[in-house]
Amino acid sequence: MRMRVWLIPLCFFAASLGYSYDVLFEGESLYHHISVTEEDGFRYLSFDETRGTQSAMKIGDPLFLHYVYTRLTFVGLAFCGEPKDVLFMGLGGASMPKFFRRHWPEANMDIAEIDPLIVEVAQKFFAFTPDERTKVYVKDGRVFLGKSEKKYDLIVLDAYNTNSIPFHLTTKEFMEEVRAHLKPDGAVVANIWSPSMNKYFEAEIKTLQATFPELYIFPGLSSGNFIFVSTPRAGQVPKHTVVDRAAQITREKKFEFDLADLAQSTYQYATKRPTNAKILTDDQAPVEVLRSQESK
Amino acid sequence: MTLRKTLLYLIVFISGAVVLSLEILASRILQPKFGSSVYVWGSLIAIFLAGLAAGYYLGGEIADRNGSFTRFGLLLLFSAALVAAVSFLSKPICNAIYQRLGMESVDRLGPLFASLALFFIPTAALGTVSPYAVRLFADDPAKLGRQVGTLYALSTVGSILGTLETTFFLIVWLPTPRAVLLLAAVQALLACLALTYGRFAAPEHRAED
Repeated sequence: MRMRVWLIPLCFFAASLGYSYDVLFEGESLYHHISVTEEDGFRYLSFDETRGTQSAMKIGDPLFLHYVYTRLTFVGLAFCGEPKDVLFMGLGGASMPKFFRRHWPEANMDIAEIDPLIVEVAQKFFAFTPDERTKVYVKDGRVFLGKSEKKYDLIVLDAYNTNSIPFHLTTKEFMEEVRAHLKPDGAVVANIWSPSMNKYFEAEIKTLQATFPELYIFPGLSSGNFIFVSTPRAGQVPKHTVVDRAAQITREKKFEFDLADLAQSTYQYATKRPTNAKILTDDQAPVEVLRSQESK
Repeated sequence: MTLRKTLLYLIVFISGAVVLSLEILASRILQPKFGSSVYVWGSLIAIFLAGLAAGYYLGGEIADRNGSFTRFGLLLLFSAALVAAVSFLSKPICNAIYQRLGMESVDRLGPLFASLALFFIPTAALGTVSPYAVRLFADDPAKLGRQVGTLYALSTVGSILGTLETTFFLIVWLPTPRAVLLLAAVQALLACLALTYGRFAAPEHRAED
């Protein structure tokens, strides 16, 4: 018995070396527990373990967009024309900024990311290399926008996919701020993660409907992500127009995936979609509680 | 248990809930203007603790000087008025501070200045409650440790319930400014109870009044 007791620490050590995946990095920032793991040719970025992965990069092909919602996000380009100035709120594994920069080398790209460790991890592990036309602001996205005078063709809101949604990025006042920073023909694209229909999802729809004249929803189908697109310009952009523009972009930029096909199968015109949710405001946006309540 | 003790327990318990509830509402007030950075939480916790520290010290001082239920009631009323003021001043003060700071410092200094301007004084007023109640409570010096311990335990349990109740119910029911006013109303109610008791207090306690 006395000698066999050594098996116990041995087992623990073996277990701690990891299961079938490699852990490249694990660390705590002031905001998240961040881990970078590698498995089967993919490198994954995860926050706070329990909630799955945030971002995935194919090792041999760092610009490959693995998650459908990251591809679907670019449907926003069918609403805004030539993207000369673009803002990404939330960096994650930088898959979308990298992809965008590759296909639009001349555009000005601003990125607002609150967590400096994420910026570091993206650069060290996810092949993110900001160039002269890319500016990373380590700042809360709303604070950055409020103090900025810039106007964008496209604003991508990707700060909602961790376990907690920052309520101040969901409200009418914030969406009005976003609208004020869009060019007249611009568009805002928000990635909302909602694995089931809940009251927060409905409330966000209501809030966008109240702020922008048009709203489109592109469900990411199996992933539980929804891409919301809103424009400050009134007038519905019909499905066939969106699909045609998406096809043109796919052709001209030689995308590896078919954006037109994605748009075709997911386009939903949601401007008049009925919902009896309450608009989210800075004074009242209990998003956590709403997210746990099923919408009827 | 006497009416006197019950009243003091109640006041300390509810005030404990009000302080933490106010702190959570404070984060809802600061976040839209200053973001959800760690500086907001850090500033809030620091200022709330500083306010409580100031309140504990002052509460003890004035209670020893000429503590009475009537004066306790007035102090509670004063704290209610300060909390009510937060409801009205929160947006103007946050906006004013936000305007004056540039992009470089607004997320670091903004929450600190706003917390200080909005919450230090009301928190200090709320902090006077526990030591003042200890003073009004004290009858048998041999039981002092137990009495102080019980009052602070009650205050802390009140704080736990205040936190849970605010996070799960208050911010769902009411917009933040009205939720703050509700807290002020609750403090004012406690003030009325204390003032009423002070007015009709039993004769043997009059000497301490």
